[in-house]
Amino acid sequence: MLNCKLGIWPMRYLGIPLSKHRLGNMAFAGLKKKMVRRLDPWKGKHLSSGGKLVLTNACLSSLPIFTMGFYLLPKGIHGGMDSVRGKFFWQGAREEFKYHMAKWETLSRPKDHEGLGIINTHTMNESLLVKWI
Amino acid sequence: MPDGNFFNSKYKGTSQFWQGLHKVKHLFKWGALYKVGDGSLTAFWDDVWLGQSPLKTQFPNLFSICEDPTVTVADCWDHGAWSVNFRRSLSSREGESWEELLDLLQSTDLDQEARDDIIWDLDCSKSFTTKSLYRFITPRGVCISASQDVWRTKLPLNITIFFWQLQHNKLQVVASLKKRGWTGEIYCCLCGEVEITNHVFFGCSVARFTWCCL
Repeated sequence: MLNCKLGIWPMRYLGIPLSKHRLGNMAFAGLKKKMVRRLDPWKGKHLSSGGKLVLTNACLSSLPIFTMGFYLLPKGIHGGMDSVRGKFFWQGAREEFKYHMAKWETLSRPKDHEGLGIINTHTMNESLLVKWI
Repeated sequence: MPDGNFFNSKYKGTSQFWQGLHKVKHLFKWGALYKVGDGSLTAFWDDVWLGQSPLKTQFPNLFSICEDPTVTVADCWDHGAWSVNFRRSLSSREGESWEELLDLLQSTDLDQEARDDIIWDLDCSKSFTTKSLYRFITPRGVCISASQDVWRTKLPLNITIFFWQLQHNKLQVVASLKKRGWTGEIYCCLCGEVEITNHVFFGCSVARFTWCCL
């Protein structure tokens, strides 16, 4: 009568996953997939390291921000997103393995603290949640 | 901004969102500065409302013997006089600390009309910003001014990153690759010495020749 669709748990509402039970790694796995999907058309092999840094920071890092404003994501998800971003930064979209010459923690430090200023998603997640308090 | 009851609310059996907030509430204390009105929302020992740190770190010996560590400022205010309950009578040493604390407290008066207000101390606008907290909790260690110089130059970004790698010894020279399990000769293919970053740029005879040509 109201022309509404009946939903089933777990569902997404306004882009946020909702569930009766605790949301685990499975529920947030979409974030990592979204990053990988975003990478595909970029053809990272034609990008310089500067271009890759800008894309990592401006585009990949900001994909999970919306979800991070609501939930404290599991550590595994943060790790998964870090590995996608790290892989893109060091080897681009190529399949062939490249050495990661610096630790991810070093890269994600701010520029005035010997890092490259890539956003640390875990810290960002915590700071975003404190906004609600 | 905060409802004082959040810090006393329960954790178990609540939604995932609420539990997430409880897990990060310790970070809120880093920047929150309480401006006491009637004192009903401010925790006497835990919150920063007098001076730059919570009273429990300013007077640890008094905090260890207090009767109720979660007591609010309003509870301790008894019609114009301050009274805090302790589990036992104070020794002479603790008595001195108590006098000191009373001296500090003397300057503050509770206003029964006003509500407690919270100021965010980490941002100059005095209201909460995610950026200010993010910046506060990210750096572990001191600020190194030399590392900033690379970013101030007006070079293309990929060259800046190359300099950054050079500065922090993160370039793909043989010595670093060896540590990561690369199989190959450790010697420089031009002169036969061990290839480290310094050698590639300054030590190798070919490099020195190039520098001379400039």
